[in-house]
Formats: sequence, structure tokens, C-alpha cells
Amino acid sequence: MDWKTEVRQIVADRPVIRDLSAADLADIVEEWTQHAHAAWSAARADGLTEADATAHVRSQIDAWSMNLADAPRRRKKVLAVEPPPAATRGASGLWQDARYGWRLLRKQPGFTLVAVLTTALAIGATTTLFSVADGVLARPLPFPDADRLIRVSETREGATRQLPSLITHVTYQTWRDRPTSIEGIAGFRGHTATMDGDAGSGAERVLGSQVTASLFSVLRSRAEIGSAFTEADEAPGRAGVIVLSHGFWQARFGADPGIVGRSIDMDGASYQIVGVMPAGFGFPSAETRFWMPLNVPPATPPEDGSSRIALFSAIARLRPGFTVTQAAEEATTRAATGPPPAMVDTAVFGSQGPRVVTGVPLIDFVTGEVRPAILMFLAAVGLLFLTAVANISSLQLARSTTRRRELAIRSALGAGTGRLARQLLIESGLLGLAGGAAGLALAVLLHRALPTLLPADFPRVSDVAINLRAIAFAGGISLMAGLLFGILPVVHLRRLRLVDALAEDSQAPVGVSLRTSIGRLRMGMMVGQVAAASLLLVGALLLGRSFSALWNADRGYEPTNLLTVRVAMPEQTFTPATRAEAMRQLLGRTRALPGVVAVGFSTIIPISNVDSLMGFNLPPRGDSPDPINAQAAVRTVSPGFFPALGVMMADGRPYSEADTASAPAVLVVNETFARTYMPGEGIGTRLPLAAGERTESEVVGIIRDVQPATRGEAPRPEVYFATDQQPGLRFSEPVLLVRTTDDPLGLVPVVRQLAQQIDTRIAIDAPMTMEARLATGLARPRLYAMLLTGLSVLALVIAGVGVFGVLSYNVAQRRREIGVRAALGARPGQIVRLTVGQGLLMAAAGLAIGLSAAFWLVRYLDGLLWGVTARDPLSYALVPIVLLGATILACWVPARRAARIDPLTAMRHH
Amino acid sequence: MVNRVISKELRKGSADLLILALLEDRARHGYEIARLIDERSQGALSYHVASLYPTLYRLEDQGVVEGRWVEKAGQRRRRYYKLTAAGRRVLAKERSIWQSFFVALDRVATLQQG
Repeated sequence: MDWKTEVRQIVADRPVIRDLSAADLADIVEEWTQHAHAAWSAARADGLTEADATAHVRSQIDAWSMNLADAPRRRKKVLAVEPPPAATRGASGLWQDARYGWRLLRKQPGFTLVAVLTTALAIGATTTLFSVADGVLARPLPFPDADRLIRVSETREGATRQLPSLITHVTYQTWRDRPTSIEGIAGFRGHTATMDGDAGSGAERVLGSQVTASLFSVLRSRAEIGSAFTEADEAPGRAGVIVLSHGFWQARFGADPGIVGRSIDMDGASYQIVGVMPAGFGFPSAETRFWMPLNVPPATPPEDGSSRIALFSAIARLRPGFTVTQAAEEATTRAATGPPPAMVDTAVFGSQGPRVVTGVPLIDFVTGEVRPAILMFLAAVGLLFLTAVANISSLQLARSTTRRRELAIRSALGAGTGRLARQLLIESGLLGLAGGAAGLALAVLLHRALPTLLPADFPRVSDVAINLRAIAFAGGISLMAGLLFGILPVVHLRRLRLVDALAEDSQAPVGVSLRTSIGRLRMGMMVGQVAAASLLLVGALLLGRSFSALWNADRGYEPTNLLTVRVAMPEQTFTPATRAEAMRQLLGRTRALPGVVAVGFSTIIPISNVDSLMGFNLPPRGDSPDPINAQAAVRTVSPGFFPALGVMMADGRPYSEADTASAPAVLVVNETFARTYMPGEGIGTRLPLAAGERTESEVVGIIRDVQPATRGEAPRPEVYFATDQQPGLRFSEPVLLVRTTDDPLGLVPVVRQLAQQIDTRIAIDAPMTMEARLATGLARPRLYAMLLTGLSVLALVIAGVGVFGVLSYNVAQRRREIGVRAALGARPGQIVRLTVGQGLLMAAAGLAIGLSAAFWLVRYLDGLLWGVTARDPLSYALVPIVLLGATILACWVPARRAARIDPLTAMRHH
Repeated sequence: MVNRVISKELRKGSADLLILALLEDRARHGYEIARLIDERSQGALSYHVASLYPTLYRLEDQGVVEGRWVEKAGQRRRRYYKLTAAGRRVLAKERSIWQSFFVALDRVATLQQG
């Protein structure tokens, strides 16, 4: 007799079966099959015939399956977990509570999964941001007594040009000789060297730094092998010495321990290696691969009557007890003892006013630009965290409402309120801890991805670590989350009235929803979540619109299909004449390549970290008898440069091949120059600017302003010289521009090859499309916009799930009420409106709060916005649309469910 | 009248109590429970056997018994039911009420108290 088939058939005939899960059904079939076998054998043993025994057993199975309808298995909903006995106390009781809580959570895998995932996301994001803030902003820089390191900058009274943080040799020399407030000052500047690549792969560019010997003492850092160089090595004419970074020493010299004394060829000269710095040392950046002496000229002007300025970056170490302000004042005083500022000061600063020195703590300088963003994101993830906590809190509250009976029974059986509260808190704590553990794992993953996620110039990425502090932080907020999850159910517990709870229907008490304090509390939390989501959305939209404004800004040139290549021809190996000739040949050969539309070069291109400045006097104008101190950025360009960059002429003509040394001296300037220094004049103006023997040139063209960088900086006066009218090319790293019909990156190997054919000592550096340069320059705004968008979408989803949860719950609770309404003739549309109306009410309230909060808080975003104001109407207008869309989505399923409630079923349900 | 009340209790409440009582000292599987009820009542309580599994499942849902598949060496996997702590409390509480229809359940009850 195959009882299994028999059982399955009998069971399958019962309509109630379709409500059972497959697992439950399989369990039942197996259990009954076993029973049937045993009962049949027993019946046979009692003397029944085979047919009688079979009929007897079959009737039993039939009876069970008939009665099954009265006892449907609902394990998914009902918590068949045995509560711990009320009597246990202390640690063992705690353990029991924890085990009970754990089993309860396992019985509801859906809820647990949602809760743990939400918590994990929130805690992971918060912990990652904490570790970034901690590593980048809070931890001291990796040098002894780093809090006394300051960054020094210099400007001129009345300066019209904002330079990056630099000082001049005059300030350096006058202060270094007699320092009171500082222990020492050190100068440094970036230096990219050209050296032969491995195995004859052509010339290679290596990033290093020229530094004064004092840098190592100011930073209190020593060489790992050998020693750093000394002041004596700085003198001009001394044989070159070099200190290597640990990484460069390993990569290039196989970590040779006998490295000191060997030499290395760079820029066509030989440098003796005197030391290797330890692995953690990276100044000014972690990518710095070598250090060579920086020669700072004396403060006294050269005897030939010329005036010059050496510009470089500088740091100083404060003496204990002195402040940054005192140091800056001292430096300003000392600098005033130097020779008076001259025309060259106008060129650089736009003013010949007295020298003014300022200082900021080095860590603030390094992290200053990212600080507002990090703090903003810390606030954003904090908000996300609260949203997630509110959501799970609300779910827990809902669960505790349905658990009223369980809690009431346990209370009746002698469990005190304290004991039950402890139980609820332990359950919540478990959720918090599970979420925290998963969140920490997420934070570790995110931390690994940080170097790829963050722009290359993001400071101190290597100092960010998931360390004990981050782990303690994650643990702390997990516990806090756990506590917050449980606090509302516990408060609710104190209001639990035993008799009511036991007396009411276990399935669906009538009149929950808005009318109870719990209902109102959950609604309130939903409103808060919607508010948080809309606040984040406003921020995300503002940042997104700002990035879009930056990306799509009219730059005065055409960045697509444009290749830029730095052509490095070092001082030591090239003369201005050979350089000019090499560029002429490179232009000619590149122009002949297929797909090339236009070719040109300039000494300086937009979005560049170098600049070339000029000061000059213009004849007096108007009533004033004094000449006008003029200042402009100066570029030397080939005739093809303007079409290659895609610049529009505002007036006149660009350079042509005819503008040679023998032709009349001509000039192209930009609109800002024309407006500033040629008011009321135009094409044909003669300016006292010319190369070689000549003294003045005629302005033949005015170009439309070209945006100098990426973030909407105002254009400066610019003068463009024609390369063919110059005596050679003095600038050692001109940039080749190639405009193509297609993606220009494919040309890079060809251009490199052409350069090698012309001269093997040419190094092709940083081949990038203009769009890539833009993207690099805009990497931070883009990251900020994307990150905040991600966070706000997350908050929106969490809030949406929350609204969905509250509405679904309300619909379930109001089943009977809705059934009555339907029975009395309410149309489905009216019932849908009832539910959707509730959702929209919550959304509208949250929106009002969120937008008002945003209106007050966005001023903190000001520093991160370009091209849009913090009160951008479109951003504010879009948020309600997005939110209402999300709300309707969240309302849809509960509303449909409500509309489909069949009055008969709903009433019979009780 | 009294008979009707008792028979109602028998049909609804006491089937539960019967099973709880049988599980009081050890876990048993369904056939064993059925056999015990049948044996001890000598067929008088066959109705309870007929509703055995539905009852067990309901009790399980209420959290007073807990069913678990157990594998013993050399035997088939069997589902054993045991009394939960809540079940013990229910049983203890209900014993006093139980006394009122003690007679009807004489044989089974005696077995349990012995």
C-alpha cells in the first residue's frame, strides 16, 4: 500500500491546502504517511482484513484533512517560540532573553532581513563617513608635533590676482635669517623630471619636488637610508644631489641597500643619490618620488638692474607658545625689510603694494577644501541613519502591537513590566548589533573602494582607516540604533492594558490607524522620514544642478574631440631655438595624420596648474600723469592654436602663417584685456609689448574670453604672442592641441612615436582629452552630487518603504471598517482615495517640514555650489514632484488591497 | 444541559488538555499520541484521534507545543511534539478546571496522574 500517494491525494482534495506553504504540506504528508503505515500494521495485527485496515486508516486521514480547515497552519505569522520562563534572573535570564529574541527574529526572516539590511546600509555609510572625517580632518598629519606646522602664503596690499598659496624668495630669506615665532621655514615646489624609461621605452616623466634642506628638519623627518641633503647642497652650481622616496627606491632600484652614492640621470643631468626616505613619508603628496634641492635666490636684487621673483610653496614650524597670527605678523614685518616691490610684483600679484604674509595650520590648508563637503556628508548620513532608525522603530512598534496578546499573556504569567521591557530591548539590540556587524563589513568594503571612488586629488585618503575608533563608533551607533528601535515599543508597553489586550480580537482590533496614540506616533515618524528625504533631495538636486552648470558652462572653447599633450623639452637639453624647431616639426607631422582637423600649441592651456604672467606699463590715460601698471597672463601660441582649441574671435583675425619674425609685430588679446586696458579702442591699437628688437605691436585680433579653469573662475586679461615672431621657445613644456573628427585618444601612440622620431629626448607627458581634463577638474563636484543623490535616493526608498508599511498595516487593521464601508456602498475609488489620502497627508506634512528645513540649512552648501544659488527655485520645485511620485507608488499596493476588500470576507474574518 | 456543556468542553478544550497531558513528561510523535489516547480510552475518545493532527497543529501555532523532526539511529525521521514552557503553564492552570470532568476522562487522567 503506497500511503504516501494516498495521503497526498486525500490532502490535495481539500481546498484549504492552497493556503499552505509547500514545506508545511510536505511535512504533513510525511507525518501522516508514517502514521498511516503504523496504524495499518497495528490494525492488521489486531486481526482486521487488509481491506478493512485500509478503509479504517483512510477514514482517519480523511477526518484529519477535513478538520485541517479549522486549524490552518500559519507559522509565518504566529510566533511559535517559547518565551523564557519569568522566574529566571540575572545573566542567565539575559542569555535566555537573547536566545528567545534571536529565535523570534529567525521566525520572521522577511522583517529581520529588511531591518538588518536597512540598519547595515545606514551604519555602513555612517561609519565610512566617520572614518573619512576622522582620518582626513581629525587625525594629526603624520609628522611629529604636526599641530605646530603652518602653511605660509604671501600677497600684496591691493593685489588684484588671487594666486595659489605661495611665497616669494624675499619673504623666505628675510624671515629665515631672523625667526622668532618659528623654529624654521622650508620652501618647496613640484618638479616633474624627464628621465630615460626602463629598457629604452623612451623618455619618462617622474613627479618629484624641489625642496629646501630645511624641509626635513621642519617636518622632523629623517632618511631611512643615508641622509637628507643639507643647506650647502642648495647653492647654485653644486653637483646635484637627490633623495628618493621609499616606493621609487623599491620600484626603480630594486630596494638596493647600497643605493647611497649611486647616481641617476634626470633632465639630462646627473644626480647623486644621498638618501632614501622611509615608507610613510610623502610630502607634499604621497605621489612624490624624489626630492632635490631648491635654490632660493638672495633677497637683494640682481646687480644687472632686473627684478625677479622666485615663487614657491612654504611651510614653517611654530615655536611652542606662538600662534599662527603672531608668525604671520612677524613674517610681514620681516618681509618689509626686503627691497621694494617692483614691476615684477605687478606681473604676479597685480600690485606693487607692501608684502603681506598670512598663515594657516597645515592640516587646515591640506583639508580646507574638502572639510565643508565631509561635514555636509556626515550630516547627510546622520540624517539617513535617523531615517533608517525611525523606520525600523516604526516596524518594531507595529510588531509590538500585534504582539499585545503574547506580552499580555506573559505578563499574566508573572513577567513584570521590567522583564518584558528588557525582552523588547534585547530583541531590538540584537537587530541593532546584527545591522551593525553587517554595516561594519560594508564599511570595510567601502573603505577598500575609497581610492577608486575618490578623486585623485582628494587629500589624505591613505590616512583613512577602519581602525579601532571606527569599529568603536560602529559599535556605539549600533547599540544606539538598537536602543532607539526598542524605546517606543517599551514606552508603549507601559500603556499596555492587560484586560483590553486579552479581551480584544487577536487578529484585527478595530479602530487602529490615526485614532490611537501608536498610530499617530507612527505617522509622525513617517512624516519625519519624508522630511529627511526631501531635505536630502533638495541638497542632491542643488549639487546636481551645480555640477551640470559647471559641466555645460560656456567655456569659450570646444572641449570635445580635443587631445592635449604636454611636450616636455627640459632646459638642460634644449635651447629655445631647438625647442621651437621641434614643435614646428611636430605640428607639421601631426597635421598630416588622418582624422586630424586642426593642430596648434600653446605654452599654457585652460585647466592647467601652471601659468605665465606679465607686468607692463601702459601710457598714462585721462588726467593722471602716471603710467598704468598693467598685468596679464601671457601665452605663446602657434597659428593653429585658436582653431584647434575652438576659440571664437570677438573681433579681428587669429594668427596666420604669415605672422613671422619679418612681418609687422602683431598681438591677439582676449576680451577682458581689451575691456580693461584698451577702453574705447579696438583692433589696430598699438601696445608697448613685443619680442626681440621691437618695442610695440598692433592688436589684430580679440578672442572671446576663455574660462581659465573649471569652476566658473572669472576670466583674466590675456595676451597671446605668435610663436613665429618670438626668438625661439623659452617655455620648456608647451602643450600640443590636436582636434580630431573622432575620439582623439587613439592618436596618443602615434604622437609619441612622431616625437621620438624628431628627438628621442622629448618626453610626451599627460596625454589627455580636454574633456578628461574637465572631468578631473570637476571630479569633486561630480562626486559630491552623485554621493548626495545616492544618499537621498536611499532615504527616499527607506521613507517610501516606511509609508508603504504604515499604509499596508493600516489597511490590514481597518479591514472590517473598510468592509463595512464597501457594504454600505462605498465605491473602490472612494476607498482608494481614503488610503492614498492618508499617504499624501504624510508626504505633504513631511515635505513642508523638509523644504522649510532645507531653506534654512542650504546656506551651508553655498561653498559647494557653482552656477546655481542655494535658493534655486527649480530644485525646490522638483522635490515635491519626486516625492509625490514616490508616495503614490508607496500607496498603490495598499490602496489596491483596500479597494479589493470583499465586505463578506472582511466581516466573516472575525 | 450539563451533559451538553461537558460534551462541548470535551470536543473543544479537553482534546487539547489530553494531548498536553500526554506530552507532559516526554516528547511523543503523532502515532504514539493517537495510540495512547485510543488505548487508554479504549476507543471512547476516537473523535480526538480523528482531529489529532489539526489539534496538534493548532496547539503548535498557539505556542504551547513544539513539533520537531528528529532522526534516531536506525529509524525514520519522525516528528516529535513536546510541551513548551507556555504549554506547561497552561496545563498547570487548567488542571483545576479539569477536575470537573475528571470522570469522563477517567482512564486517561489516571494514567497521567499516576
